[in-house]
Amino acid sequence: MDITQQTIKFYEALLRVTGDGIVITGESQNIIVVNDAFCALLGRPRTDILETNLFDWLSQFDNTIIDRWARLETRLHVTGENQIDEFRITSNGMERYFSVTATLLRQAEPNVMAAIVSTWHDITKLKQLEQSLKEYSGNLEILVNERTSELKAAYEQNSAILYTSIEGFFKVDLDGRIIEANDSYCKMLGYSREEMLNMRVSDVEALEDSDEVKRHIEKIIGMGGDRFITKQITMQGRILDVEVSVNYIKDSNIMFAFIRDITDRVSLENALNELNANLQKRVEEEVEKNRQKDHMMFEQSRHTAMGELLMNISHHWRQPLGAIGVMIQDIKDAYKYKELDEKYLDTSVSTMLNELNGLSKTIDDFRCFYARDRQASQFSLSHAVNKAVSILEEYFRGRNISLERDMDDSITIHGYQNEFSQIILNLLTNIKDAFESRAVANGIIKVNSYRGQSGKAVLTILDNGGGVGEDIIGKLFDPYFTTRHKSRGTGLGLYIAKTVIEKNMNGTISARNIDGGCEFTIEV
Amino acid sequence: MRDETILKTLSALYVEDDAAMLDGLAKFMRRRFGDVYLAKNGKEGLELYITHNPDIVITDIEMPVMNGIVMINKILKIKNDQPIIITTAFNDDDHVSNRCVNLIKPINVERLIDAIFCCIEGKMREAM
Repeated sequence: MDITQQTIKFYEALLRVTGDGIVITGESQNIIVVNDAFCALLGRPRTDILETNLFDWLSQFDNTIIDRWARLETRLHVTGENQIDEFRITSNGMERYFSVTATLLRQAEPNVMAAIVSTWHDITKLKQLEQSLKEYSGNLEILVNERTSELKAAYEQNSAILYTSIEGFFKVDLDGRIIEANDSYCKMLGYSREEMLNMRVSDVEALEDSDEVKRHIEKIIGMGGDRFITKQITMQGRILDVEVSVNYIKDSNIMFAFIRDITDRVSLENALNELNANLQKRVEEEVEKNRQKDHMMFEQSRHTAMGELLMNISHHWRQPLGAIGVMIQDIKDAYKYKELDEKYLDTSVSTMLNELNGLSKTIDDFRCFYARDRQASQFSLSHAVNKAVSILEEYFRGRNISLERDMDDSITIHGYQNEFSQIILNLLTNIKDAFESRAVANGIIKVNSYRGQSGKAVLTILDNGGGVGEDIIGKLFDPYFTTRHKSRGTGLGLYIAKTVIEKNMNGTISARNIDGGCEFTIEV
Repeated sequence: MRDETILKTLSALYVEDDAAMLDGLAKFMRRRFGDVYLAKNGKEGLELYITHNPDIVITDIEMPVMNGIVMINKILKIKNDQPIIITTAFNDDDHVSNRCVNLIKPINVERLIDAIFCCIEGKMREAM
């Protein structure tokens, strides 16, 4: 084997052994030599490839490759130097990258176009790595940029907040020196920033002395922070109420404090407290006034009741007194007419004693009627009504007023009997007055009682006195409301009736116009 | 001293709802008048007045069924100059009449007799 033969063999072995595709093309891109790796790249046997046009193969991958190859060739010819380019080939759906190094194989004869040797080194993996690295670093950069700008924004924002905040902000070192202060705090205390930065907390503190400030700082360090209210003094000597929130930053050994002027709030709070106290006092005064008014009202109504009592007693007494008067004079007259003997005297004396006993009984009845009940009891409704009726019975008889009673005598109710009887008397007296002022000729009062559906006792008192004006029927139970002349009543009777029945007896009292009269209904 | 015997020639109507009062004053009147008619209310009184046409009427005001004022007005319609004496416990416009002699209770019998004479003297003058 000669040297040439040997060299060829040697190069052929080299072509085979390399993993890179190697192809030698002629001047019209005709494939002259191709190695196994390049055949594998095209996926065809060598016999199919040799003497075919490289462009035919490349064009099946991508049209732009042909252009790139053409430019590569041009550069090779112009420069005569090795050219490197990257080719991307898509085959079987897979993207592969090749680093192509092309070199000009010069012939001995200058006018003959040179062949081109190109090696196709698969850099797909490298490319992928590069790509992911690129992506990664790209993301990283974005991330870093984002975080940086976030931090920057946050920092700018924070410092903007801290320095433009309406709230005061300052930093203090562990010795209590003010090492930073925002405008608000400077303005709050009336110092310039330079002055502020030359001061200690104890210089502006108005409540704690320097030892206390020192202990407070120790406490803040120990607890990591504190929130408290104190007083600080301004440059002008004004005392401010301030609320301070301090955080101890361990890493930088400083304290970070927000401070708020709450002087207005505190003075408002004080004013409010004072107002509340005054209000409380006012309420107590009004309650006392009301209590006195109530008391006075009950006194007034009691006076009225006493007046009525006197009137009723006098009514009861007039007839018997008149009779006794006549009987006394009759004794003298009988003597004069010689009729007086022992029998005559006995009859006269016993008749007079009878009348006197009646007078005495009237007093007892009235005293009993107006006595204050010592305690609540279960009592007969009919009995309580009859007691009230008995007081006016004489009067009714004289005025031709008829009283029709239809009552369930078995009903008993719980409460204060005399108080209840007085209420009934008050209702009957109102009716009597209405009959009188309206000159009702044949007054009729109907008193009924029965068990209501709810099991409560119901008492109705109906008259034919013409009823109450619809405009005032709603006011009947108001205090000081009266239809009577001022000298006759206080207008408290029905108010007190309502109070007693609702509060003391847990019942109701109401009034309505019906059948040409007024009907009161009491449910207890 | 007046001569009370003259009353024996006269008749009287007494209207009073209180039984003790009616009984008591009835005795006085029976001793003095010829005829005495008693009524417990205005209605009875009016009926007796129409039946007996008494010379003098003595009446209470506050009475059941028909009160004294109503009865008096009805009597005065029948006989415009009928002498009437009112006995009442109440000295007010509702219980007195300017057409009558008004006596306030308790009754003093002497004053009642004065009033009766006052009435019949007018009557006597008329008669003469």
